[in-house]
Amino acid sequence: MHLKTFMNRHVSIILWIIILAISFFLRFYNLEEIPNGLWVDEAVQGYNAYSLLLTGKDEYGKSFPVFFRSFGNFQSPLYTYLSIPSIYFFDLTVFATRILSVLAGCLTVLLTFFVVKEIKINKSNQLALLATLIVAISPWAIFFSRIALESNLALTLVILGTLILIKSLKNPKLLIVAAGVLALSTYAYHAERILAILLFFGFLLLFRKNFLNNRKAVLFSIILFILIHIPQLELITSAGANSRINQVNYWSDNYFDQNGGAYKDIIFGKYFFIVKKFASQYTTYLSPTNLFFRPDDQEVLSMPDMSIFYTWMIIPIIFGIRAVFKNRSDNTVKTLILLLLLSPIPASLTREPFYTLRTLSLFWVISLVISFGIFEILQKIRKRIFQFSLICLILLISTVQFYISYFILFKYERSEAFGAPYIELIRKTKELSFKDFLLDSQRTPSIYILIAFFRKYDPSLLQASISDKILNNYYTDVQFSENRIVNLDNIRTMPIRWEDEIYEDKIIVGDLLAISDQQVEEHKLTLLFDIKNVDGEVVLRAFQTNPTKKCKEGTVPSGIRENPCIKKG
Amino acid sequence: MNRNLKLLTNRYIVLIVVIALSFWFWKTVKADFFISMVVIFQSLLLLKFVSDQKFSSKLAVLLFTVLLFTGIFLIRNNLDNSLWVLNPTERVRFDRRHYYFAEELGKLYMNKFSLYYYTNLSTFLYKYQRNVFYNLDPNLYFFASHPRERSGIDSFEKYSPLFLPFFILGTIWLFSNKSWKMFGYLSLVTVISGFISLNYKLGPILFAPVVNVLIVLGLVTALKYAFKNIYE
Repeated sequence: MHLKTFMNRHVSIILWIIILAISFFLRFYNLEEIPNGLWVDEAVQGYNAYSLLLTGKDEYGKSFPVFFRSFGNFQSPLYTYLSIPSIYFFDLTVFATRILSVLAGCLTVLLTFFVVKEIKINKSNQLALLATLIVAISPWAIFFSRIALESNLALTLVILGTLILIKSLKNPKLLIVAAGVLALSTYAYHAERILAILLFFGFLLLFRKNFLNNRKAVLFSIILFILIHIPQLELITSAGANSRINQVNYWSDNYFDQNGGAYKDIIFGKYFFIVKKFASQYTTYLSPTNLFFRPDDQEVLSMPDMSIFYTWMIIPIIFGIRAVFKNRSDNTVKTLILLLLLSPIPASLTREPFYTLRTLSLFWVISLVISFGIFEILQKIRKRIFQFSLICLILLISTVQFYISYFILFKYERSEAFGAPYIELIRKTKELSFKDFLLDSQRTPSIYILIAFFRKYDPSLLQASISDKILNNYYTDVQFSENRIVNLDNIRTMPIRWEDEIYEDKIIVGDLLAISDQQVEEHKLTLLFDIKNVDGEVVLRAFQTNPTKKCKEGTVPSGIRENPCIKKG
Repeated sequence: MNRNLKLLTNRYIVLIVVIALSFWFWKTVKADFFISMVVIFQSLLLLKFVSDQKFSSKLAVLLFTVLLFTGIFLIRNNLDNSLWVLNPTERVRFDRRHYYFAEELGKLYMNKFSLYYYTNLSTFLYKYQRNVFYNLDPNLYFFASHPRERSGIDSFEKYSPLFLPFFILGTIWLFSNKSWKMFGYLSLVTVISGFISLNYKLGPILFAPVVNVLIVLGLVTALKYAFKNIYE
């Protein structure tokens, strides 16, 4: 067969493979180096998977928990459990921790094709290919795929669930499978505990006429949905299961007292306040400002000068919204509109101004709307050469923007947020393994997990340091002590106690706020080394204590019962 | 009953009510009476322009001329000078990034064209985009930018949040009716407003007629739908 004939016949498949290859490359390339460092939330995922692999228990010694206690935020478990194989094959490394998110991201791109394929206006798979390309190159999709994030895995499950829901309109038995997948997504991320329920029952309500003759399928799907929830339902009243929502909600009396303003003076003021707060939170997730220009304020969740979408995408989205209206009678489009309207709800129930992790499904649907818009624009352009030029221009602008923002600016400006200085410190502690280190954890109480991760600290030793009180009240005692002392080989993490730590021979490490110049002078500390960020600015300082010098000074802090100089001899 | 219904769903009457209930309008009256009159005038014209089935070139010329003159007046008196100027924090970041780009991109960056773009154009383009997008935030109009308030900028609530559902309905109307007339007006307003300082005491006042009209269209649609169900 002629190459040209082969290409003409299989152009869709060839383009599909090229797009998937692009998405793989963008997500896999230099995965260990960028992000530069490891976020503590990633480290805890990896370390807990490592701990489960070696001991069958998490870092606290709890055997196969339903929620991971972590830093008192009780993380959803699925990402950690599914990371165990990668830790087994690749050891406890940054790559092994992130690879599941990468694979989930690639699967998202793949599933996009099959979802859009269901739309009637999709002829010769052109729209499906375009949607796949847009998701493959969208900044949010690449960015969140390259970090070990539970929400990225949850998104893949939601999309898979959505696809199966759409297919169930033709084959109602698939509703049971969809129920299973969506229920599973609630174990992937907290937001899905609300979204999956709303989506599943919202879909049943929206298409109730389709399922009137298939009540058995509906009944079994609901039963399966509930059954899968049982482990969570058993803990539904526990402080652990509600820990995260309690930390971030805005309907508590305490929050209303502090922020209620004029609403405190009117009858039913709290309810008006809550409704207004919800409305403002909801619209913020649909605001063009936040979608196309202003990034998430959290440095670990955004790139410099890059929002969720590229700025140029605001043009096709106008056409895309119009296309969605035109095709709103299509069942797939109806399902996508349902998902779009429901997706911001979990995030809107929290007080954070714009927390992108909780609305990845919204971004995915908006990506599809953008692709509809580009499709509409391309249809207005008759000549193939101009269509091709437009696609190339889009790819070129996006590539340049993304490369500058992610592979250059993000690498330099966000390395500190991803703990890169601490990773350098950990390397130093290995070099100086004969010395004891005290790392100040006043502002970073969760920093011990990075040490445990990179030192591959024996989980059974860490578990042994946990009090029985915590283990016995794993889901009920939710306090994460900021003053927790953690010993990991030759490193101890704790807030510095100036009254006695300086009387022992050790290296004290802290950031610029932890150890002032005055304290250096007062406690006779000697600067050993600095850890700098990529800009060359000092981030951490390591000081050697001089107990002999300090004791010769003769002054002992008041309030100390035993003179540490005498005690130490 | 029909007469009352017609009165209640008369777009121009609804528009006057919406303007009268808008905090923004009264703040504008207090601060600058001339601009407040322009807002009323433009809102009426825009509503007619968008509602009419036929395209009236005279109306279009009048509408866009008033917009242009008002825009020029506002730009002259409230030009955002920071579009071309870096504050100390921005300067530090600017210099650092120059180093990053030079390190990473080598000759791709260290050439006449790229350096000219970075030094002379990038700041303006970034800040202009910032101004444009801040004005497109619905929360700016209904929630005083809450929950993403901008530091150093005194945002105030321009409309009661109760108008938000009608604004959304009006926006849906806009997309479903393919009102390119409204999109054209909105585009020009967006371009002009990008040059006006974010600290201007009346905010993005050129957007007021657009928001008024969208709320009106949403309200009228809702009222007609409600009364249609009651009286049929």
